[in-house]
Amino acid sequence: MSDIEFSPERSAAIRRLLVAEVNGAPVRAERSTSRISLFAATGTLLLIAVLIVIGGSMGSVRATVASLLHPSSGAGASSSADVSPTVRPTALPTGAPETGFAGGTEAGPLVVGAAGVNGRGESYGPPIAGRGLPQLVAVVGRAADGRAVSGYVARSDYVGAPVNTTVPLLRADGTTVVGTWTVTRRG
Amino acid sequence: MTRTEPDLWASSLQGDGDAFGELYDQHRDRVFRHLLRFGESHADAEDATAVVFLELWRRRGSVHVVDDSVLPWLIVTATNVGRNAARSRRRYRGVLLRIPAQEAAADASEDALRRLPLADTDRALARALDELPRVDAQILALTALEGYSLAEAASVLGLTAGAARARLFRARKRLRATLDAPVEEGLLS
Repeated sequence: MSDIEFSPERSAAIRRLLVAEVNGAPVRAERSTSRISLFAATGTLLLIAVLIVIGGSMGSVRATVASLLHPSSGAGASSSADVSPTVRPTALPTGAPETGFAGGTEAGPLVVGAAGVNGRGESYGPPIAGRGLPQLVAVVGRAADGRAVSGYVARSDYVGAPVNTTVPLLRADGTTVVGTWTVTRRG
Repeated sequence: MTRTEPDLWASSLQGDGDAFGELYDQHRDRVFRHLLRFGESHADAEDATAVVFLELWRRRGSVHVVDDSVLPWLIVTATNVGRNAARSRRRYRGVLLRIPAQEAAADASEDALRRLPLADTDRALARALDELPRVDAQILALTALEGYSLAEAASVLGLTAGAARARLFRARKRLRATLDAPVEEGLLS
């Protein structure tokens, strides 16, 4: 099977799932969501009214109201994030910093997927079909600040490692750590 | 007789699952290949494809159809899903569990190959797209990667032609600054 072909069994399973979803009860239809939002909004207003009526210090009431009206500062923000197209995008961010390699450039720029042999005699580079894996495999992981960064993971770190194991993301020298990479499928 | 896409979409909106299945058949590969650009494993890109079509159904009331096609909307959604892989799947975690897992690889090396199916340029591109502002990445995906005109991209994103042009210019400029590897032909031109 080529890497750019959809596996037929999984595609068929996804198709069946989609057909059933459309044929069946539209549990996630937008209309339902709107109703839920309406209930939530009504409930929130009632709660605010009750809080104001039953008193307590005005400071604490104001704080509660503020937290209810601006839930985006809490954990709810990420769970309600949407992946559908933005019809009315937010304003252009101004003064955004130019992006670059999160790993820094002290030891020279990282070249994504560069192949070769480092000073310790370890092979590094992307996996190449039919030739197996180099000792350091090129991946894109995460730097400490959360940005995507290219680097390498030691084959010995992740082959056989369980899913969700986090392994060090290295430079091609095999020792400098520039971030982490999480095993997404069992090696 | 083969039904046209507007017919399929209209029937889908009436709750015709088979019509939705045909839409999936038509656009599945384009969505899947676009998701592979984000450095996902083969199996994860398949899951993400399912997420994109589930989003199409969930958001059916607000989908922008361009030239009788939902594909531009799918590409934009795939761009968002690719950039926020874990978060995008959370909503559909229960549904995705119903898709059979991919068969175990014959050996660890083969599995690792499947896990990293992309060429170097795609990984660089994935990283670069990840760092662009969301709408800039969407414009770039539609125009430079998927061949839509700027007017079509602006339409699906609800932007004016001028705003879309400005964002595309900025996105290309930032990509030039970020990428140090050759990228897909035409991406920066």
